[in-house]
Formats: sequence, C-alpha cells, structure tokens
Amino acid sequence: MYAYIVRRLALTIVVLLGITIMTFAISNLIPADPARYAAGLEAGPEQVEKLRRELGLDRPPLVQYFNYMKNLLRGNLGISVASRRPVAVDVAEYFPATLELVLVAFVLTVIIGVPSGVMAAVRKDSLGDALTRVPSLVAVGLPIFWLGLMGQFLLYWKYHLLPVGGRLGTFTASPPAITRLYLIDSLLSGQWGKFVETLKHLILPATCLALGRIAVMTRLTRASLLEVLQQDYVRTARAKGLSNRRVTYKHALKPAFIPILTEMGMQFGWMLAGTVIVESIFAWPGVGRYAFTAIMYHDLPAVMGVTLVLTLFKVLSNLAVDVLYVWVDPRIKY
Amino acid sequence: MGDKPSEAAPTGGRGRRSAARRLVRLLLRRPLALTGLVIILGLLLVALVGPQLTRYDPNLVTPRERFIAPCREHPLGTDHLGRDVMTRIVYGTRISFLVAVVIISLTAAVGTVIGAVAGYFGGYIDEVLMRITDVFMSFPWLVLAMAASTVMGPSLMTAMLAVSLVWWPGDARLIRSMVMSAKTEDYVEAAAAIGASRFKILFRHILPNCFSPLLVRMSMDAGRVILATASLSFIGLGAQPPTPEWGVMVADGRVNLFDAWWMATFPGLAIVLIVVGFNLLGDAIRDVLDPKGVYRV
Repeated sequence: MYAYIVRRLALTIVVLLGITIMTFAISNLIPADPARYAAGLEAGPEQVEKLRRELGLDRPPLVQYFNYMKNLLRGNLGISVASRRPVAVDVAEYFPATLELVLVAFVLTVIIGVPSGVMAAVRKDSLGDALTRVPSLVAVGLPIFWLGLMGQFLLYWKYHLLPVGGRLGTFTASPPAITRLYLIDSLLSGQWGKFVETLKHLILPATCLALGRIAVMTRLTRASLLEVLQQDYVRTARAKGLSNRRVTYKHALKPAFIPILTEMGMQFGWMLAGTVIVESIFAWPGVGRYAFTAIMYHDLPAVMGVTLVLTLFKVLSNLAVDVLYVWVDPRIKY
Repeated sequence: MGDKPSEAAPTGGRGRRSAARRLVRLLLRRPLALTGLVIILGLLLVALVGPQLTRYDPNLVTPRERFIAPCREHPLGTDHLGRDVMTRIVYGTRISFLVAVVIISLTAAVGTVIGAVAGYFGGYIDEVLMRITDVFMSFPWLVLAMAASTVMGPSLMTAMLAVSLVWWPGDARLIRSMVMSAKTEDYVEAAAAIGASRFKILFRHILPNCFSPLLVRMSMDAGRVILATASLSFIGLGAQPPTPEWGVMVADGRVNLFDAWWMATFPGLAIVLIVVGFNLLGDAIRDVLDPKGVYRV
C-alpha cells in the first residue's frame, strides 16, 4: 500500500513538472512578444525593451524556464498588469470565495446525485427510473452561463426570491476572517443572520455549477450499482435469504463506490473550470471572476496565475481520490 | 477489456456498410434516439437552407428597431442593435456544426495517431506519451483553453484550437487501449505471420477495428465540444461580435437581460437543443455499439 502511494506521489511530481512546462510555454513561447504582453497595452517601446531585460526574456528558453521555476517555487506568480499587485497576493485573497462555492456545489452534487442514482438502480425500469433519465440528459446539455442568466432573470428580477450576485449584500460586512469561508466564519462567530444571507447568495451559483454534475453523478451511480447487483456474490447473498435492502446496502454499495469515487474526483475537477463562468455571472469575488476580468485586460500573469492554482488544486484532488481508493478497496496494489 | 469490438470484424467495405445499416435500424427503434436524430437532422436542415428563408440580414444594424419584443415580424425579438434574433440564431447553426466537425475530427486525428503509436509500440514511447496526456488532462478543461486563447488572441479559430487542446487526450487513451487489446488478437498474429509490415498491421488491420469505439466517443462528444466552445465565446475568448455565434449572442443578451430577456434566452435555448440532440444520439449510439460499456476509458 505504501509503495502504491509513493509511486502515486512520484507520478504527481512528474505531472506537476509537465504542467509548469506547459504554462511556461503558453506564457513565454507562444506569444510573439511576451514582454509586450507583460508591459500592458499603454507601454511605449522603451518600456517594453526595459521590461524584456528585467524579466530575462532576451535569454535562451531553458534559462528562462529555470528562472520561471525558481519564481514559482518562491510563490512568485508575477505582477498583475491590471491591479499592479503580485498575482500571488491577489489569488490568495480571492481563493477562499472560490473554494466555498465549489465545495458547496460539490456537496450538493454528492448528496443529491448519489442517493438518486441508488434509488434509480434499486427501482430499475420503474417510472421513477425512467424519469431520472431524460432530465439528466437535458441537464447535462444546459450551458451553465445560460442557466445562470435565466436564474437571475426569474428568481431575482421577476420573483425577488434570491439576490442577484455577490457573497453578501452590498451593505453587509463580511464575518470575521477565521477560515474566510463565510458559512463557517459566520457560524463560528455566532452571526446567524449572516449565515442565512451567505446561504441565500450561494443558492443560485452553486445550483448552476452543480445541476449538470448531479445528472452525471446520478447516471453513473445507477450504472455502477446495477453492474455490481448482477455479480455472482450478490446472487449468492440473495439466495441465502438476505433481504433486498441488506444486499443492496451492505453487499453491493461498497464495491459500486469505486467508480463513483473516480467520478466524484472528475466532477470536482470540472467545477474548478466551471466556476470561472459562474463567478463571472454572479459577481462572485473568487479567482474565476478575477481571471475573467484579467482576460478583458489582457492580463496574462493573472490568467496564468489562476490557471496554475486551479490546476494544482485539481491535481491534488486527483491524488486524494487515488489515495482514497486504497481505503475503499484494500485489494488495490500497483 | 478483453472483448473485441463485436461489430467490426476485420472485413471489407461490405461488412461495414451492413453494420451501418443495422446501426440505423436499431436507432430508429429507440424513441430517445429518434428524438435526437430528428433534432439534429432538423438543425442541419436549418443550417443548410435556413438563411435562404429569412428576409433579414444577420448583421445589419437598424437602430430604429432596437429591443423589439417577440412579435409577428420578429418572432424571437430584436437585439440592442436592431438585428433579428431568429435570423442570427439560424446563421449561428452553421457555426455550431462547423465547431463540432472541426474539433471532433481534429481531436480524433491527433488522438488516433498518438494513441495508436503508444499502444502499438509500448515501452518507453508509451510511457512518455501517456505522461503527456496526463499533463494535458490535469488542467481543468476551461482553464487550459482559457490560458491558450488568451495568448493566441480571441477568435473562433483559436477557441476551437484551445478546446481541441483539451480534448485529444481522451481520444488518445481510448485508441491506445483498443490497440493494446487488438494487438494480441489472432488476426494480427496471422498478418504478422504472412509478413505484413508493422506499419501495415497497425493501419490496415488494427486501426479499422477501433472505428466503432471512436464513433461512440465522437458522437458523445459532439454536444460537449459545442458547449465548451460556446462557453469560451461567452467569456469573450471565442467568436467575436458581430459573429452570430450563440455564446456571443447570450453574452450580448446578458448586458440587457432585465430589459430584453429574449436576447439571451433564445440563443441559449438553441444551444440546449443542439447539445441535447447530440447527447440523445450519442447515448443511443453507445447503447447499440457498446452495450457493455467496454469502450469507456
């Protein structure tokens, strides 16, 4: 088991190296003139030349890559063209909002998707089973940007049920920064009203992010549970006279959980991308909205900073899933 | 993964044509598949002849006709520049099909070459190529596309390239696993025994048998790549105004959401329609060609 985890860690390091080579290539090799980019749109030719020398962009690519890595390892992601602050500082400031949104959407996906998949599998071919199929095929096809706008139009503009965006109302101060996840901070400091307000602000963006994922999760849970239910040992358990309920929940669910776990990892990774769109629609002050604004300003360091952070997070979540496999399925050896 | 694709026994063109006919027959028997087929064929028809049927110009700015709510002359309303929304949606259909065809064929081509080489030659080559696909797959999909099209400059072309950049590793992995399991089949050994070159074995004997898994994947992906490209356009990294691309149209509608709800709503519905159409079709094609889920990688 330890050998597996060590090998998995080694693989993660290789992948991380590959990722830095990619981001380096994207930001330094693809643009015809990266210094021009870094200097911003208003800079004159002398300023661009000066910056080129300062950033070492006149040196060979390999040297540039080593400098790039040296900076990354020091946590230096460059200076944002738009905010004129270090990208790392900006990202650290905006990341908790993203984390809160993605985590809430992820929890929604799991607590709704998995049970409805189990239900659909247990009552295979019933009306309920058929009813989960068509909506999930549609839900996967809903563009989240459109879903968000429709939600704003109906639930905010038309029926005044939910706020239009942001983490809290304009005139509400944020709760004391403990974890910087507002749901937790407001509870820890006993500010019940702020907790409810945060929750209200979370409903629309989190649902947008989760809806399609819930559909995927339901379909996958159903398929993997059905597959296990066809196995011989399940038939044996039934033949022994165990109740259907006991067979499903005690014998079949755990093995069915392995593909479900894989899918959970993939959905989490998907949300790290989808959050860029959701945040830009709901004025959610996270890294996704930061990246969206950065795109409009051609702020390459900021875009690449967000790219790196979100990718790092996805790699870590994949790693977590692979380590969890060992716990779910002790047979796994690599 | 031991099962070999049941449909595509190594026969010539005749066998494949009858397999295709069987596929169509099986699809027609499923209501969901039929729905998908009707949607896609309908949209294809719109893409081909639609522009001839509308009397408006998709890009003509008529300030006097701004923000007209859906009415008899403009069934889906007009936008902030007085352009007819329905006309623009009709023209946008062409772009969506173009996007699907370009990305799907590009990723299938790149994925097939890389997957086939990795699966057939194995060893170091395989290891290196697979680690490269690992790296590409580690990026959250939109994020890599976002970074790439920021640098390349936003346009529909770069958005399609950016989405392809994210999509090919899946094709490569699929083809690799199919090639690896086909490599040990009797007919491959037979071909080797009669002295066929490795190149010929790979391209003439093994790859044709990977066609049906690839078809399953391509049909499942058509809707997804349209969605991905429209998302890039929506955040300003794909097609640029005044292109009548659906993602761009939703983005235009976003600014005027509370004054002119139809501007964002209808192009969005068009995206839903084409994506759901492709999903229904893809789902059914998979059910028919791959009932056991062997092709899923």
